[in-house]
Amino acid sequence: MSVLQKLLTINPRYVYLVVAVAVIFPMVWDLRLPTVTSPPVEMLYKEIESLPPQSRIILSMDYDPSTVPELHPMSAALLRQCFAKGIRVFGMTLNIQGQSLGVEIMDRIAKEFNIPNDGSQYVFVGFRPGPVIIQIGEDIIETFQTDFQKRDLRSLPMMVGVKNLDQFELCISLSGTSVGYSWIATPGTRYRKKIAVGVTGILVSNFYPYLQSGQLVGMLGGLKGAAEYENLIQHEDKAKQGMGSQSAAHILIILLIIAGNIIYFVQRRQAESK
Amino acid sequence: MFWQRQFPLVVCFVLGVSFIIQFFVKHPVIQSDVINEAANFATIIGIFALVLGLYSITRMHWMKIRHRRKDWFFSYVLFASLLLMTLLGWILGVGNDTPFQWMYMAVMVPLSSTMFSLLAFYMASASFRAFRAKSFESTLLLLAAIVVMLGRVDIGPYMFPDTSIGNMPIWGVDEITNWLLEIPNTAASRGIGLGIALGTLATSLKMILGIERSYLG
Repeated sequence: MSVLQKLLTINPRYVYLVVAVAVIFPMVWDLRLPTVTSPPVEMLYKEIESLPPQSRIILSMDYDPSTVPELHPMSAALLRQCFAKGIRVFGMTLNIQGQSLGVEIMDRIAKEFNIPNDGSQYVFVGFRPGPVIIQIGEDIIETFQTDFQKRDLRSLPMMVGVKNLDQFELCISLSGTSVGYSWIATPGTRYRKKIAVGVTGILVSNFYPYLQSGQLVGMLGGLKGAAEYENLIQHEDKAKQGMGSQSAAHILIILLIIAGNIIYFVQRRQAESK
Repeated sequence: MFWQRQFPLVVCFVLGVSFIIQFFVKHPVIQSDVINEAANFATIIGIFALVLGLYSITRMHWMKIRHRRKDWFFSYVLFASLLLMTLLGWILGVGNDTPFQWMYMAVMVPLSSTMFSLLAFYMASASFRAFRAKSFESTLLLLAAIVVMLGRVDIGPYMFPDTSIGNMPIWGVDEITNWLLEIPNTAASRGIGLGIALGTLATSLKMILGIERSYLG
């Protein structure tokens, strides 16, 4: 067996080891580089910046623990921007596993801004199955009735005067699945609400057509999107910390692709010359 | 026979049509009463799906333990975790600063994230073994993938920034990535999306009209 053949049939565990080193090293070393902001992220930032204080937005954290490293920093950055501007946030989730994540992030970021959990600046209603996005267009109070702490929504200050989606300026869905399409189809198309999404890196390309058509007012894509947003709000956190590891992993994969192809072409040339 | 054949067809027809007409009829009865009732049904079915899922996973792991199948011991771990989390949530609550929340954030979140991150290891291995420039199309895909991979991390624009030769601007990797995502990718995604939408529309109409009956079993 030639050296090239041996390289191609190398035990995958060695590749895994190199990936592990590439991911861990920048984390320990805290490798940080400047982040360039992409247009979809800037669009969402400007959209929220243009809202007056006391506006209401819906933040639907439709993700589960597997996508926390990418999507939880998005929630944190969006909440920081809203709370800093005095924008009121209605938190919800269409994913049953997102309930604990939603309540954790909302309370934690509110504490950073010394905002009490009295329903004046934010409210979290927890999980409801997907069809509620049809019902909230008609009557959001009747659909949820109580928040996560079983308080009557009618009794919460930020919900006074709220009937349906008309009282919300923007809906943002963060998800690692295709649930963003449902937000575009119902609150977006049927109720003419402005929609933005935050998605995992793998889904980014799927949502670009909706940006071009104006059905999305912004999009955060993957850890890079979260890092760009942290950069815009000038509060570097988990996403920015993770970008060093992601840079190293991407470079390593590119090098592996190049190495694999060089071996492939050399082998092909050797076979042809025989 | 009626309950097995005709009745499901009637339910499918009535609910299917009610969901279609909401987009065309703005009457309050349709917009609020009918749609709210239909959405309530869907919500209840969604909750029952969770119960069904619980029954299914319990049965599967019980059978695994009973027949001593491979890794049967881990089924006990599943039952213990299921019972523990249920009791913690039921007795002590599920909000912040509860044992349930601590277990969720300290155990469930890292475990799930770790499982998902394994993808990176498999992708690295596969990129070395399988991603080959065998034809013009695959070479094009390969080059686009490399550019987008560079453009989606901080180090890409740092290595290949925007520059210029004289008055002529030269795009850096970041601009090229944005162009690839906004133009060729959007065109391809839109084409695929339209194809899926037309297929879904045709299949849905066939189901609503009772032409497609395979879901009846």
